[in-house]
Amino acid sequence: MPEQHDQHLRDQVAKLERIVLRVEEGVGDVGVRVEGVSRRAEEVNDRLQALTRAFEDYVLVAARTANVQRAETRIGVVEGRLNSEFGHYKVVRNVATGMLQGFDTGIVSDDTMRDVGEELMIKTPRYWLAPVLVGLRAWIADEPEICDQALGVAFQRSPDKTSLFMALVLRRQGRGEASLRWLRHYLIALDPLELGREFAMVLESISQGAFGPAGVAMVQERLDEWRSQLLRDESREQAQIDRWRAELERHVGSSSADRFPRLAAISPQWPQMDEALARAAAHGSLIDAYATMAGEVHVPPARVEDHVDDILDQLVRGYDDEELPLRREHAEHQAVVDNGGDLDAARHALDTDLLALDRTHDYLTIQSESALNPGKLGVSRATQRMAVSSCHAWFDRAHALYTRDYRGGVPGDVRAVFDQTHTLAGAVFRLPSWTGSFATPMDELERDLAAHWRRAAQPFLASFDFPWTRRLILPVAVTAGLALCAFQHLGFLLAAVIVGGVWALVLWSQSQTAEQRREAARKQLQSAEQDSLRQLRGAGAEVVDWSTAFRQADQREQEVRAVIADLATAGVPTAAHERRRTETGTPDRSYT
Amino acid sequence: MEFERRRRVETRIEARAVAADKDRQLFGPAVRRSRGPRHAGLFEAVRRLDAGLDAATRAQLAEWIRAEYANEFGDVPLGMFAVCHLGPPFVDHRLDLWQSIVEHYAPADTVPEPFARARMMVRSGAYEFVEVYASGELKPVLKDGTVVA
Repeated sequence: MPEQHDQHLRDQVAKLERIVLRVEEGVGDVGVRVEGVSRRAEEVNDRLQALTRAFEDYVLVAARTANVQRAETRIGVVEGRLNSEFGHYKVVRNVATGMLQGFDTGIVSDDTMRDVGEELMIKTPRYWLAPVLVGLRAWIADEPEICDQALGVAFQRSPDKTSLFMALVLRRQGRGEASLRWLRHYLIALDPLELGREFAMVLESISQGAFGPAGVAMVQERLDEWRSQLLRDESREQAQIDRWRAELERHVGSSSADRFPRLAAISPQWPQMDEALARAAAHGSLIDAYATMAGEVHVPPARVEDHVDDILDQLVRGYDDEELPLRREHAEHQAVVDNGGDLDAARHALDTDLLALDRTHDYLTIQSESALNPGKLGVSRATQRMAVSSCHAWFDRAHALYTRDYRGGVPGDVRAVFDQTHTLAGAVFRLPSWTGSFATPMDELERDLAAHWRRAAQPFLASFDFPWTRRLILPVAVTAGLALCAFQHLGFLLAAVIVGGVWALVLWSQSQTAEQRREAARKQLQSAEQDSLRQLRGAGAEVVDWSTAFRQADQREQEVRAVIADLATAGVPTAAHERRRTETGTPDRSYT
Repeated sequence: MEFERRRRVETRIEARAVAADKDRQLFGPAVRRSRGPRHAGLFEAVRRLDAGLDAATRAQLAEWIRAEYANEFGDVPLGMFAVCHLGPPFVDHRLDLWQSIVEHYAPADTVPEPFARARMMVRSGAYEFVEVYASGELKPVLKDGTVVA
């Protein structure tokens, strides 16, 4: 009976065991599925992120395309308005050019000139050039009264432009003295705080010697006066220094992370070092840009008259102040189109560019702009050099400040940081962060890092040790129990020997496997440690290279200062004017 | 007509000149003055501070430098930072003009703020010394006496 019970109980236990096994299998299955689901969730998440990025890109592109389209439409509208509102100015400009040509060749009858001049006078009631043309015709036809009246009207409309125009025309007709008188009117009419863009042309004519030595002396005197007047105000000087500082920023080099990859990877000071090196590289770039300018010998144009004509041409063709708001709007939209619809980039481009289109500037700004933005102001290389020369003090100060600032930003102590992120092994072994300064000798650093690796690896390696004590408790107890039973029945002794032996064999093979795993892990750790040490050594070598590169780039600062000092004396225009005297007599060439 | 126009314009310029003069009186000169070139006498004094003087002489010298700054430039720095000529292990030092302390530093030593930033400027070798002001402003002085500010 008890045997039956025993059998029944055993069956039940076996059944229970099977159920437990099935449950375990079930749980395992669920675990696998959960893992699968989480993997898929991750995949979905990744794809969602990719989709978000693609969508954001799309939105950006769409917005930019819309910006470009809008800007293009606006350009059309602005051009239309320019044409309808100021199109007749263009006619006047053409006529002015034609009239000057007519004077030169003498084949246009006086009546035609009179008719055209008077007609334009009526058609463009606010434009200064129309009465000037009437005056000019009267002057040629020797009608002083009409000439005086017409020029009076023109002078009212735009005193500076009229004076400059007359000064230039008289100059090209060889009336030196009268030309200088108009030039004086012109300079008096100007306010050094509010100079128009055409003043750059006057600078141009001085540098080209268009007004002869007497003109140069007069203009130079006036310019010096303005300069000292404006420079009394510290904030104005500061504005010019800031302008030059912005120019220096353009010469900052690019990042050199590819030259120092190891340093970039492990040093938290790298961004500052990279910045400092890029900024120091500006010296070389500045020397390239300005050294040639200092060394250039300016050859005055073969005929000063050519130049006077060019200036006259620019004055006649240039936009009138009234047109500027529309022209500016046009430039704004054009910048949006040029920058592919990127509004921020367009605004940035305009901020540095619009200055040349802006309404008026003080004299100091005109000088700086002639030096830095000659193309936009339409001045020649000689004028640019002269302007750089008169700006040398600002250039010098901006450069000294620029140099001071990046030098102050060089990190005093360059460090290396090794943590979980620097290698794959670091992540696997969860390496705690280690920091060392490159100021300490390299072998000391290497020893310290190796010791850090060993310390960090110890618990990891220990986890592979085979836990003999823990694993031996059960087998010893069972074998001992069986051995005790041997006092009752000798068969138990045999069982004890067999069980103990088999168990011992199993445990021994398990311990061997654990030992192999430990060995494999140790080897991996060792190679990871070697890898870290290689990185450290490489970065150390790069620190030395970087220091050399930085020192070399930084030392060129003195060369830049020498170039600026050369420029200070190089651009003075007197030499060119002394060589060349203004020709007198009737002009013998045609107006182009 | 023409004449009147011209006269009007000229008065305008004069008015502006007067305004500019006013500006100059208000804040122009102080800034200019503080940027005046440092003379050789100051260089000499700063160098002598370095050369192991006794406390009394050092205090006297520091006071002379302070007076010189106050008179000539209108602003007295907290102190200077310069390359040290004592030799290894020292590379640079700090001169405190107010407590007349000279502190020499080896490369590994930490320099207290606001002198720390001056250290890297001095290291370039381009400056005679760097003036450190209470406001935190650093004004390096070039070998020719020009102040970078």
